[in-house]
Amino acid sequence: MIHHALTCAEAHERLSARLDGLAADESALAAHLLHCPECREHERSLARLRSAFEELREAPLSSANLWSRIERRAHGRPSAPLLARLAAAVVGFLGVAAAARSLNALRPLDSGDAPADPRLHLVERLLPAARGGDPFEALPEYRLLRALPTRTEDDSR
Amino acid sequence: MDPDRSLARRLEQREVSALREAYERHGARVERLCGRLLGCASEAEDATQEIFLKLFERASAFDGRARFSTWLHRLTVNHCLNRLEKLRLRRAGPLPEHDRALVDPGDSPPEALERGEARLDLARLLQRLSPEHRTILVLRELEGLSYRELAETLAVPEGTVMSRLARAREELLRRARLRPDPEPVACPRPETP
Repeated sequence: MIHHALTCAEAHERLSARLDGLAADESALAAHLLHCPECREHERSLARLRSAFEELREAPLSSANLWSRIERRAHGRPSAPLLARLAAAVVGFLGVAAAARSLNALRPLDSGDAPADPRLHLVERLLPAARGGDPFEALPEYRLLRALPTRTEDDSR
Repeated sequence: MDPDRSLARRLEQREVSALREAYERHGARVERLCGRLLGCASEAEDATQEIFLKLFERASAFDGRARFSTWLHRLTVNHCLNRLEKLRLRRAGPLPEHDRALVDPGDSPPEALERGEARLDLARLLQRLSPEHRTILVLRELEGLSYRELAETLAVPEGTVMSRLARAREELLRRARLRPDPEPVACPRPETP
């Protein structure tokens, strides 16, 4: 509904703003209210709502002391620089891995070098040794591990 | 001058003593705001812990353009809105009967709000509002934020604050006139495994 250049929606907005102490074009609002009983009722409802909120506002602050729980969890969190370093390390590792794969894929297959897929390269290294016994003997890392002294019961005490 | 500026710098250095000071200064207010937005004391406690841990981790994001308390308000409001959205997605099925019968069918706003149980009615009605309207009403009416602070906290222009507040008040009055429909309320039910 429109009364004197203000719609009811506009009047509601101005009434709401006026409730919060904001100045509005009072003459236009007053002219609207003079002819609009719905908006006059809305104005009264807003005033009652404000009173009800004032009562609710007086609710006491919380008494729950959460500090000990927050402190425990704060101490358990790795610092931001550490997280950043970890993230950088992971990104770096993935980058190197991707670069290695790309380089491997660029090698010509007939050059006698390892095939493009590193898994195939591993199979190639393991197969000859598998025919003769322990297939992992072909891996230098495995031989190194085997060369280390075995942990005895005395060591674990 | 922001009284929390040096506190913010110490938080940036990840001093646990600064976090404790921040909690002592703002913890109760943050928890009360969480309770009003989430509508549930246990949710409010969990949210308060998460917000202060976020504060500890993200203190370097505070650029000093707004007051620290406003920034913390924003952090709180965003956390609660995200939490409400998660709860909304998780919730299914009809509400318990006592949640539906918030206002008698014949109640009009004057009758409902002027009776002795106005505080209870209004607190429950707030939980029926859309998160957007509930947030702005809680911040304005209960936390006492100015229009400028509301604009900073909600990251909207002041004109939007004005129109949103008007619509929020209309929605609240409309809901007070009607018997509430079975919409979700904020307090979660126990999760089933």
